[in-house]
Amino acid sequence: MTDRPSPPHSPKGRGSSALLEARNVSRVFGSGAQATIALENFSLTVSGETSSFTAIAGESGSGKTTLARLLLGFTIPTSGEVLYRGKNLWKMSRAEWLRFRREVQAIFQDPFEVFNPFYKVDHLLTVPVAKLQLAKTRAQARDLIEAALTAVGLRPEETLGRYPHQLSGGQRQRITVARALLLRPRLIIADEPVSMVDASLRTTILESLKTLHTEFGISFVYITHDLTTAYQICQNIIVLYRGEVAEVGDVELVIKSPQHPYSQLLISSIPEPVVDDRWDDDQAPPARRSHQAPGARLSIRRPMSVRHADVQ
Amino acid sequence: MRIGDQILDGMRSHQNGTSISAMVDRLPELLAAIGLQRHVLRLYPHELSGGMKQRVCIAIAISAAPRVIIADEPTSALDVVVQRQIMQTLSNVQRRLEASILLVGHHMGLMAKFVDRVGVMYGGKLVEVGPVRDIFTDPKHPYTQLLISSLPSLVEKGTLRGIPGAPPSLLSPPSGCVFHPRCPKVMPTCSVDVPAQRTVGPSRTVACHLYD
Repeated sequence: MTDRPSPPHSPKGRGSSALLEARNVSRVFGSGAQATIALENFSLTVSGETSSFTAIAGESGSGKTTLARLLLGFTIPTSGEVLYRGKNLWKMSRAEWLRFRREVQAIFQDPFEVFNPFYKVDHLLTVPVAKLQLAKTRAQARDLIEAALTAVGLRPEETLGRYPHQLSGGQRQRITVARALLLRPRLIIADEPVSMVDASLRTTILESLKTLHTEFGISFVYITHDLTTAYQICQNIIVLYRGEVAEVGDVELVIKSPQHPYSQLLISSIPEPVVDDRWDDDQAPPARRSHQAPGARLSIRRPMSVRHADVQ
Repeated sequence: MRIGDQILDGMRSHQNGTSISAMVDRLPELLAAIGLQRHVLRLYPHELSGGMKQRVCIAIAISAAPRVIIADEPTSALDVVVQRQIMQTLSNVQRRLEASILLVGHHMGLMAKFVDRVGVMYGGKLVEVGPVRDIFTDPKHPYTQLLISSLPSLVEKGTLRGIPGAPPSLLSPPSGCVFHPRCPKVMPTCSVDVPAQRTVGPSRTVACHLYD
């Protein structure tokens, strides 16, 4: 227990040491009868002192991406607040906002949409260097960019000067990882970074995320629906179910003995490469939730289980 | 276009002899086969979740009672719970129609759970073909072995292993065996000769110089 890094949730009162903190955040889309609660009463603390690797897992529509957008300050919470170094994201000065933009980086799901096809891939790397004044000279900027590309396993001479269509999905996704790294952030919020990448490259990209965590001490919030990769690279996991926290805890405990019925369902749905337990003659009703409108919640809800973590 | 019209659209262009009303009468049965309720027919695509939309696609595919269904990564955009539901829907439908399914995908875990026979492709060529059980218990080709072991495990931590290198360029493929630049068991002959498909067991073939 002692050698395990502290969980990302710290009890109230130690909030001042938090790098990024979500306090009872809710986000509702629409209003009245049409309202969809995307995220309800969510709290999370990423410590500024120790680096952590936290997974947010859940099905599509469970509020994962809404959470990423709230943490990055792209979406304003309906209630509650997101604090960066103790300050509300939406009440920060321009200087604080710039610092936040540098220290908290994002990696998104789609390595195709991130790039503008009219610019060389260099564009994605040179703009943040210029905007945040990371380098004094062109040569220095080039060195920074080349170092970041090398750190994610790309060869700069084969990557720079190319257009997005000349690179594979895996290479493009690694450029977005390099871009995040370039700014020497304290925290990277990765929203499904490998779900659109080929299976053989998936592992390589995850390995480079893990290296950034161990070598540079960068904290990660890894948003995914893939529990196997979460288990392999994360310390802690938060299972979201329809906008609410279903289960929180050490990844080893949650995966090996899930308590919430939804976590159990998620884990039992993972196709392990074992031929003995076949699913093709499984007569389980395939459309358990089909009658429900997207956003409607399952009526069987049990108290959320919390382990090794304090969640308000 | 509403879901019902989308399903009818496919039926109209492929079943010339049938009357429209007979087609409309078949809709509830098609929806039942994929586990959706009747009111879905009146909805628009944006009102459906990803899993429901994929089920509707299955309904369109089976509306003409096909003998073969080619499913290209049918679940790669869906989460695991919905993935399992969709795959079960597909295999239920397959049994009902007595059709064959050609499942194209990269998820070896999914293959293990659903298919009977696996063909592993690399760089535009089949490198290994065999019954699913044999492929998983005794993979012959080094690429198949790496593909299976690169799946992140839920049992043991720290077992994350990628396949080194990058997929080959198909414009200028490597000489000899396409996999040789990434192969851990590469031999001098691999960069020269293209390996032929060899039979290595009952309904099993592999293209690798290790089995020459």
